[in-house]
Amino acid sequence: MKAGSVRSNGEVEQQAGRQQELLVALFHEHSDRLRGMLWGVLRSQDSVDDVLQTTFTKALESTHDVRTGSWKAWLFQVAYNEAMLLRRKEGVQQRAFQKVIAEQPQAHETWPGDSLATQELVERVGKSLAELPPEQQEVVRRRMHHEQTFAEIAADLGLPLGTVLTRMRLAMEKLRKALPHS
Amino acid sequence: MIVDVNTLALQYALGELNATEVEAFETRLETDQAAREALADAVLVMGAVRRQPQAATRPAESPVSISRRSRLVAFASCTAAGLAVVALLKTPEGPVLRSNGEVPAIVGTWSELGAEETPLTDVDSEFADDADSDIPDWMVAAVLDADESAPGSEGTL
Repeated sequence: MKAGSVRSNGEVEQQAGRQQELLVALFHEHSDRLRGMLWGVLRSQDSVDDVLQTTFTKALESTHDVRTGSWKAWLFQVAYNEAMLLRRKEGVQQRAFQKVIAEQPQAHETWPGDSLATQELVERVGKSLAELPPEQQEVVRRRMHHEQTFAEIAADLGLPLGTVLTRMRLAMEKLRKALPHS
Repeated sequence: MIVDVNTLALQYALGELNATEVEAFETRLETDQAAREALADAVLVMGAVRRQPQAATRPAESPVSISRRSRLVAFASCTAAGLAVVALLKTPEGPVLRSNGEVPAIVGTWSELGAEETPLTDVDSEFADDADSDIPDWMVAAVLDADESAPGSEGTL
């Protein structure tokens, strides 16, 4: 075996092993939130899975190019770009996409709660939800369980829309603390 | 109204932004890591909220809906009371059994109104005018059913 620029088989295998470990670690750390973002953009679990796979395939190819502290932003950037590329490829224009979402009667019932939110997260969020002030709880529950829009909630409760949005924002600030990375 | 990125992300995820706002937010997502993470967190948290048992998360009935139901029930009671008053006025001697069948007819009418199931209540002065209304009971019942099956629907009586 020549010395110098040619690497030994052992070194190649070692490097491949390190790359795999890195990818596994990145996947464990970021895949849930990546899936969340991708679902928000794509609204299809199949598409989310496809884009996630593409993203980590690109990550495997780029382990030498990305600085250690920059992986999170890199992954999210690539995932978002791939998601938008997929949407364009599928021929769903932005306006038509939103129209499709608006017309789907079960659009709001296809939240990926079962696949993204672990039981532990569900329990922690449930605990945080129970600790919210009643007025914030009501807004959250009306929106997520009773499918009312914020405008409908505001009209029903006789409140300005801004007040309803503020209550939701304050509720979300507390509920986000239940997330593992918070 | 300036909306923070977390609220924007939530509205985007819930499909409540118009086309212009969607385009603006997606442009933001191209470069803003905070916006991407806000979107991710919104989806995860809302997914966990939706998995909460609904029985434990029933919102308190709004004052509007309670008032509406109470008003409908009171209106139905007033209608029944009004008919009873009319019937009594037509029989100045009181509810005496007569062989001409007038009282049985009145009793029959009363039973049809479900008087036994609709206890008379004090007429609220607010509904005094409603006692003279000619809205049929079947319509009142239909409205009550619609009100109970459609929580949060807009509009008031």
